[in-house]
Amino acid sequence: MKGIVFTEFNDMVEDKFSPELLDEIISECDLPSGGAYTSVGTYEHTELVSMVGKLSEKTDIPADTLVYAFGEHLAVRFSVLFPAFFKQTTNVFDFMKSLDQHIHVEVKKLYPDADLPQFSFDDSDPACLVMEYQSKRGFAGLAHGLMTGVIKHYGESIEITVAPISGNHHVRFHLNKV
Amino acid sequence: MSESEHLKKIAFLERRVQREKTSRTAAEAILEEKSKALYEANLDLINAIAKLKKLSTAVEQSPMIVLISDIFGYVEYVNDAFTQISGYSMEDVVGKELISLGLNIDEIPFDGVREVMEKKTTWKADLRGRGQQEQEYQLSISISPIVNDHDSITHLLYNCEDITTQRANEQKIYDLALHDSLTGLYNRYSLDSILQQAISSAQRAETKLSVLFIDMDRFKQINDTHGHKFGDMVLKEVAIRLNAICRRKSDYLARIGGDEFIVVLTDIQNETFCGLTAQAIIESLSLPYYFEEQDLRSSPSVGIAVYPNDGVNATELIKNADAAMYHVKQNGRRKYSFFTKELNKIAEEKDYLEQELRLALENDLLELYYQPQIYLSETRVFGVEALVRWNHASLGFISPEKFITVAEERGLIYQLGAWVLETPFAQQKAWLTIATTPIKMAINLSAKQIENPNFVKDVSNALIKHKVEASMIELEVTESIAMKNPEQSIATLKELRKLGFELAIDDFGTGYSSLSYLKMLPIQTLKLDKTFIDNLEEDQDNVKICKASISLSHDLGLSFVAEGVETLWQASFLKEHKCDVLQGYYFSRPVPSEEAFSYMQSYDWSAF
Repeated sequence: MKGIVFTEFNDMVEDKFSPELLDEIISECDLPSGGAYTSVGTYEHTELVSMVGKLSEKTDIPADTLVYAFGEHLAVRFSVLFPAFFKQTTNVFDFMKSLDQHIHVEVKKLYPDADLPQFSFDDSDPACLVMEYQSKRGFAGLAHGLMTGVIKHYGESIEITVAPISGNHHVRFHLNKV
Repeated sequence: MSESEHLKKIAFLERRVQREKTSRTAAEAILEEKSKALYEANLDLINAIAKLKKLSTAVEQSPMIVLISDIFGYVEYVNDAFTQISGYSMEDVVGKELISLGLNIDEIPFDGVREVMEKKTTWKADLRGRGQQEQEYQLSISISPIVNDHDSITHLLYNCEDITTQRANEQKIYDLALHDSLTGLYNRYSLDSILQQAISSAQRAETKLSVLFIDMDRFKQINDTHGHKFGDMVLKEVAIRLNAICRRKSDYLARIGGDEFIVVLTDIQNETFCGLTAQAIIESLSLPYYFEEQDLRSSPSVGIAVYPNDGVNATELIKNADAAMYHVKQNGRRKYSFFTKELNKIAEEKDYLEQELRLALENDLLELYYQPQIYLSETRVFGVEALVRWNHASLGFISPEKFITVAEERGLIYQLGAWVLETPFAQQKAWLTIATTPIKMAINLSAKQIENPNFVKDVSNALIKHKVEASMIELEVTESIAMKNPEQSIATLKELRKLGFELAIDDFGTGYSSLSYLKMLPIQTLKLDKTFIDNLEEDQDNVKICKASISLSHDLGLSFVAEGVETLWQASFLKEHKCDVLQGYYFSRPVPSEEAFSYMQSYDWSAF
């Protein structure tokens, strides 16, 4: 998993909780990387899973809620760090559809080793975009949070319903305009 | 803050600093690596760009035309060679459909693109293109696919060679091969195929077509008198006049020989049209030809054969039109005649005779008869005149006039003449060893022999081959042959004289020889035509002519031969008036060589 996800996660924990909590989590998780992340590096996604689990344990907040919140936070950060991708489209549906075809293609060019989730779409209903998420990492919750962040970015009124197909690895999202 | 808390804080900060350091070091290492990779990628890029630049310059400046289009035929690239030939600039064509660039006149490239897309192979063809200024050019084009790593066609590559000049040259050569270079009309070679095609069309449409065979009367005289330059000018003018008359698209004009022209009129409703056209041709071609202040005159004889009645193939139609033309020539010229059944019969008979004559010449089936001549000189000498005879297996004796005419018309006369010349040479040689009295041999020459530039050489070779004494051979030409083209005759006869032959003018008095020319001919003998010997007993005019001719001969230093002597009275009269040689039935008919020899061997010199 790309280092930016880890550095952003760490920044969020420090911001929302405290630098000391982050230190505790890192120390207690006994991470192969030692928690010394750089945004340009690549790390095992299991490290993020461990850290989320430890944070949940420490804060009594369910891991899914934490992952969802992190996703939302990440979306905001991406819109700051990579505004070009967000400017290419003017609405949520178009942005989502550009993920696989455009954004992930560009990411691949920068990081040929990046292992990205796959999305497929059904846009036959103009009021509802159906997105299927597939990833061996099982971060459907993260994707859900990201989508929410994107909706907030474009300021649209869209509700997301989640229909798992195979755990957190294969999930169908319905984005309904309300 | 307690000390333990303080220590804890320090430991926390140390861990944090350590993590920051580690991550910075890792980031630097990654950046280092990335920057190295970037440097290398940059180097590769520079090399690749240089390579590409070289390739693109080569393509840019290639004399071959290069175009690249996407798979829908929209042009993405053209090189200079294309902009030069087409007149379109790069800006004019990029993004345009290939077909809009005048490259699809014949619809051919569509097939090519389809085939390339389907089979992923290279497709080649020649096609026409039209440039910006509507100028037409010709290309040899090959279309090939450009495929990506996944074996999908992404673009089409068009390599073309400008073959405009090459095609123009080929066309020129083709035209030259099909046209008569002097007049620009079709030549004999292309006429056959044109006529064959026209016949096929007429057959399908059930229409008629006609072949007009045109021969310019006495054209040879123009050539001989004024030279080939004038002759050629007349022929060119004939072509122009014919073009002016036969202006329909379906009319074809050809020149098939020296002064022989063919007009093919296709899609005709009736024969009247052919007759009117022929009449118009006769009137037009009979008008004077003015060149360099010379007024040249000729007129055509026209023979017409109509498909399908007079022939169903090119050869037959031309042959029958020729026969009809020949009929006109025989009957007064400057007219036209349709081919008829009778002419057909004559033509068929001539065909048969021609065929048989060829066989006879090949198989040595002709015979020579010899008619003895009595020399009245003090020295005893015989003469014989060699005369060709043809005793055909089924037709019996065929008159020499008949088969010699066929030989002349069908181009066999030179061959026949050569046979008639060489066979007596051999006979002469054979007699030389057994004869007690010398025998002179008289041989008739034809006009074609005199006209043939190889004749003197051929005779000379025959002389060497048979080892005969030229002075014992007398070559005879008729007055009309000698006078046909006096300058040439004089030249040829002089050459023959140089070889040692004796030369005679035959049938003297029947033509219209000019005495001044006669004086110039290098002859030794005059042979008076036998019509003047006939009825010599009763016809006082003939008596006078005979006497005058003998006197004229002697005055010119020539020997005088009388042929057709049939009575003792005639023989005696001629002897009395100093005739030098006598020949005729009174002495002997023309007979086979053995008979002629035995006649001479047993001849009683005292009897006459």
